[in-house]
Amino acid sequence: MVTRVDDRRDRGQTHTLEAISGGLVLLTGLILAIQMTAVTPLTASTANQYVESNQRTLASDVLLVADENGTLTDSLLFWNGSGDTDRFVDANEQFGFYVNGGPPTEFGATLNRTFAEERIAFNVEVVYQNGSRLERVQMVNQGTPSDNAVSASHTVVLYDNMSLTGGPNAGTELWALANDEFYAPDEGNGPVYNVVEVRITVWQN
Amino acid sequence: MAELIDADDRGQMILIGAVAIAFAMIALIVVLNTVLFVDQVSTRETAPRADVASGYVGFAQESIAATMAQVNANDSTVSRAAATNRSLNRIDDIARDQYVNRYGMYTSLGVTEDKVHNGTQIKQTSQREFTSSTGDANWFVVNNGTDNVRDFNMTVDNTQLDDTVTATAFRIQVTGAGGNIQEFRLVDPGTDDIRVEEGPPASLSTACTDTGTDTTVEFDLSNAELNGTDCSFVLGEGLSSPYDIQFLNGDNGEGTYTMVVNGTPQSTVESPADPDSTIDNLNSPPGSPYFAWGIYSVSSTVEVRSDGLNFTTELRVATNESEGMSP
Repeated sequence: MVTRVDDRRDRGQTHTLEAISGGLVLLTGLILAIQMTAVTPLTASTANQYVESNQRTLASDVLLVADENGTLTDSLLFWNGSGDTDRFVDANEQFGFYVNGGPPTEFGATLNRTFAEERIAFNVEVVYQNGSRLERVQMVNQGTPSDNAVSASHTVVLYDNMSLTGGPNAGTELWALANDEFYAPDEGNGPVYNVVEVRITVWQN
Repeated sequence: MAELIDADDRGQMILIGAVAIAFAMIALIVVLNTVLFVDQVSTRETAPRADVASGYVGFAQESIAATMAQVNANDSTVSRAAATNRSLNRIDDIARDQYVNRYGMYTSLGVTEDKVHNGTQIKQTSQREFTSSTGDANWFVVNNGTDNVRDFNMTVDNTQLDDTVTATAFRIQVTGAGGNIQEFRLVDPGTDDIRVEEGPPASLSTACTDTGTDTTVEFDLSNAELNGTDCSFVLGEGLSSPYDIQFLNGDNGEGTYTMVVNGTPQSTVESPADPDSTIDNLNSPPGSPYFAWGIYSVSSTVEVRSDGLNFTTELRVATNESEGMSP
């Protein structure tokens, strides 16, 4: 008699534990299902954040070095402002900006070496002052950046005595150009011509 | 029989218990992973604000230095301090618009006219002997003292230098308070070589040698470089202000030079009665050494402000100023 009562107690305990285990199995399955998402190389993660941080640092360093050695300014002045062809020299005629890589300048070569050869897409735009407004001109456009794109920017002062580095007005100083011969107008005071911000946006292709 | 049933049930309970513990651990791992993921994503930043602030300080230094150089080189009949102040204020306005637009951050260069400090540019831009405008071989480029010199650069034609170290070799003497002297002796000891010896006049030692084939070499005294080669001296080291600069045996050396000295010391270089007329000379400079007013340094209070960031720093920009002469 005593033995039977003990058996039932043990069985009841076993059933309780089975029920708890079953509940845990269901709960775990549910949590896993909720967490399940498509993981792609561009999915936000610790590793991806590291990649983004690296890319931002790269973009920032490219701008710093290009400014230091003067190649950034040379590219900003690589402008063809004659007649109806207002765009950077040798930029895509249909779109008005470079699409297959950086401009054919040293700065462009640096961009290509740093990003294009590593299958990293990039856009470059130049923001300048026009009266009370900020306007922009696209230098490079390789498409719409992904959600994981990062950007870096660098501000450069253009002075009146800087000369265009390409196009039909190559060699002409900025102060001597007509309004429609350069994208940025003379907004400066004294020797200052304009202040431009160069923005690079990069993302994994 | 009862003992057998007990043993079976206990085994089943242990098995189910182990399974339960295993699933509990899996659930715990999943929950912890979720916490980590959410933490990583929530701490992402589009652009670190400290980086933006330090980038702006770099921009401030660079734009002040470039504007000083532009104003010093430009033909202008207006006050250079006022021109520098106006130019920097314009740069400040445009850059502020861009930083507000881009980062939502307020920036300020913090330059006012009283923070722009005048100096004197002394130049010989045409190749000639290092003699004074009246042909003196021994003469003071800077007399009656300056407390600092920046951008002191020379180009030297080594074919005109003495071949051996003699008393007639071309020398540059910097004299500090109390008559202490730092001397630089430039000689051409071999084919195409140029050697700079430095120290007190009685004990000069080799500071650097250029063995290139160029007949004209650049001697940067402010940065202690001879044609890009580092020299083992610091301009003005061991001396205290005020400083005089003297050329000795200037007829045994030939080339060009420029420097900007702090304040308006007396000089024996060509000095027109009306200093403003010298400004015009910069576009068609005379062959002999001449001076023109210029900007020596600019001080500024750089500010970068945004939610959670209030950054202020004092800047003093005087490019290529010798550390050995810092007041």
